[in-house]
Amino acid sequence: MSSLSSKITTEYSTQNPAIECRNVWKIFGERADEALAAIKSRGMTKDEVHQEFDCVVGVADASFQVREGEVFCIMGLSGSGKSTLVRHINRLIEPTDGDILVGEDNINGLNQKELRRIRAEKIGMVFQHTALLPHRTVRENVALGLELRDVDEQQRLKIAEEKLALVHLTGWEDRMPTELSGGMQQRVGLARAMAADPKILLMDEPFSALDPLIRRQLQDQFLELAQVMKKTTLFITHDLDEAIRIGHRIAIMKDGVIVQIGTPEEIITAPADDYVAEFVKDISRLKLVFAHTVMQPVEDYLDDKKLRPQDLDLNDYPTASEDADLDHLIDLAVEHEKPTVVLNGGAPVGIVTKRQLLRGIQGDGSNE
Amino acid sequence: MNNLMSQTLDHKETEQLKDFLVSSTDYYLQQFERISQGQKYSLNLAAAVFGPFWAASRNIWLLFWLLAATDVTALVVIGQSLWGGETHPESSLALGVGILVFCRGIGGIIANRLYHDYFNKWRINQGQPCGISSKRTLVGLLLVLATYPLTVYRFSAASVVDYLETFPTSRKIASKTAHAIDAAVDWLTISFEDLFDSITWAIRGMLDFLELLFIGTPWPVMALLLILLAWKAAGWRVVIFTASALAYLGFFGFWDKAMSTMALVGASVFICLIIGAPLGIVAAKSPRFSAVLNPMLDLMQTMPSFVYLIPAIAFFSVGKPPAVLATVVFAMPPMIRLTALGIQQVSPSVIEAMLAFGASPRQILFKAELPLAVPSIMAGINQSIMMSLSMVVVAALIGAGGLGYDVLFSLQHLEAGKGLLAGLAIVLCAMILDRIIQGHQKRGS
Repeated sequence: MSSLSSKITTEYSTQNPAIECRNVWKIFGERADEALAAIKSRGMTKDEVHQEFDCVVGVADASFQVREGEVFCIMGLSGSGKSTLVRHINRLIEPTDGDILVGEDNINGLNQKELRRIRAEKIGMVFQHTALLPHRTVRENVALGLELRDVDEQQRLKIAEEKLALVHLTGWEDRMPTELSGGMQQRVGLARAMAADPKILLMDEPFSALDPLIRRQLQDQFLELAQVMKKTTLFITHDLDEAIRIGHRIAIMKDGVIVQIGTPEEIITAPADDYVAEFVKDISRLKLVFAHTVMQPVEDYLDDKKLRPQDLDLNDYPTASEDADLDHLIDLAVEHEKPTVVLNGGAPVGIVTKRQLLRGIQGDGSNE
Repeated sequence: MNNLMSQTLDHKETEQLKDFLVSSTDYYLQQFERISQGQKYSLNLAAAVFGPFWAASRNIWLLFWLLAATDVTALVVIGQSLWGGETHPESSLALGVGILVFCRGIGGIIANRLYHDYFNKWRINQGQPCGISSKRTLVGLLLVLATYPLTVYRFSAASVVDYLETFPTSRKIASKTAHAIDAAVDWLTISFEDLFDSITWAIRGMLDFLELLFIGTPWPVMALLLILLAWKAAGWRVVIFTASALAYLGFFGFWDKAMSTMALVGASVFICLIIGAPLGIVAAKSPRFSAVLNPMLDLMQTMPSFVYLIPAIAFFSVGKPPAVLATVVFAMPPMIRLTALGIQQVSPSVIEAMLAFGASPRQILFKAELPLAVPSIMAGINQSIMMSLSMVVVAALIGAGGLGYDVLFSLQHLEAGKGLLAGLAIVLCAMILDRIIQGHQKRGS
């Protein structure tokens, strides 16, 4: 089902994942190893671990893969472990257990020098509170990563200017970060992360501290950029709307555990548990749910109406493709009396009647 | 009465109070109720009669010591009337009893109030002792026995045995320890003569150079340079101030001495910077090192500055180099502290960003931490300069010369006017340097 989702299908290559986490655990505290052993052998809960070992479970058994070029969102409330998890990718935090693979490299196996090289060349990072160096100009801030790699000055400043142009900040190069607004500072942060042209972008709640209007602008700008740059992105957010707007796939975290991984549509239409369902409740489904989810198979429709397949004359019916969203289906239903026929490669595969359409908008288990 | 309780105290609070009071609950429930209704004072008879023992048994040690102090005062007055050989023993006896009754009465009146306050504290942390305890009463009794009799005896008896009046001193311990220290200093002086000599030599070299620079440069050039510096760093107000201050130094004949003092201060602060800044960096990075360093810095800052002269003379004899060293010891702590503070204040998110972009520890230090700590380090330098200048007079005692010597000389010869003029010259030197450095900081930020 996921392969049908509109944004993603065409963009993936079938190679190895760009990022992979295998059973990553992070437990904070002096007796983390003991605590982990106890969890694995005795199945202790988070609270029991806290009581017995005075340890806090940050991330519990997280596994996921991010495909090349994919924007993968990790959504969770504060304290859910999402920021902790993302810091494992460039080993700002060492895992208690588990493997992290970035391309060919096993991040935990690297020595300090190799690790610094990977951080400098392969992984760019954007932080919630920008973390720009206040004593340097915007241009020098963007050039920071290159400077750390000893790229010569003329070249790194030229690259910095190019990247600043990408985020529409030409003309601001010689200002100090404090002279810029929050949204502009965050764009500088983005330019800095891209300066070394890394394959991977880690974005830790980059837009969370901004006001809603600016946030939306930046999201759009980021989407635009993402389409051009095609960077594998791990995007952390506490806002499901943002995750849905930006992500090809979303992982939802709660108390250090990944509760569900799926496309926005999967998360909306089939929440894994009550926790996810609670989040999804207020999300508008119109642009996120597609024909293939709400339609009924052609055969069922024909049986119901006692029709033969040849009675279904496509010229009489409005038609839509499988990945037409509810918004589009509503338009068709308003303009035509007859139900909409869903086509796959020209052949009818399903029917969306008004009843199915309304149930689909409602989203109350109408689609099983 | 229980009906009355239920009006303002809910059940849970009453239960809590009972847990706290353990005995005489009815009486205290009533009293606490009255206190919470706004009637602040009532006489607690048990507290008035048993005094400190009641306070000890209920764990109100503040009241215990207050009552013990008034008890002893009253008993001393009574004791003096009985065997102090006074002319009118009856009147002082009456006074003593009066004090006792009055103070116990006050104690009885504030007892319930204090006990109620203690209950409020106990509610926050119920691990504290509560109720009435014979063990605490016993402790109170022992304290009373240990303090009352000797004190009353000391103050009321006509003549007292010697060992009560003075501490039984052992002169031997003190003199032996001092001799041992002398021996150690002698040994160090002889064994490390070369080291001390080379330090002296190095400092003298630096001082000679600085003095040549400050005093050797013709005064108009020097004055012009200082004024330009003031203008560049802090603007025209400071220029006016600097020019007038320099004029004062010149016209009152302090020019050479002021320059010599500046050279001394310059050398001291330079040494403070090259030793203090790295120590501050290490202290900021290593909690263990800073745990060792901090008490030493406290010691260096609390020790009266005269004391530094002793080891300075012992190891380096008299003259300017030991004066510089004594000044360095005195002026270095703020340099170290403010460097460490500046580095610790660098936001962790900046460090994290540096790490994420592949910075090595060295790059983090030189590209983020030190630049961001500069204002704090500058404040440290400023502090060091001020402390060095405050050491100028003390250092003159061992031959530092300069303006300090003038102050010292007039002190010894009771020439108030001359001394004050020299003192003012020191203040002006300090202010010139301070304004220039602070102005520079303000411009920078």
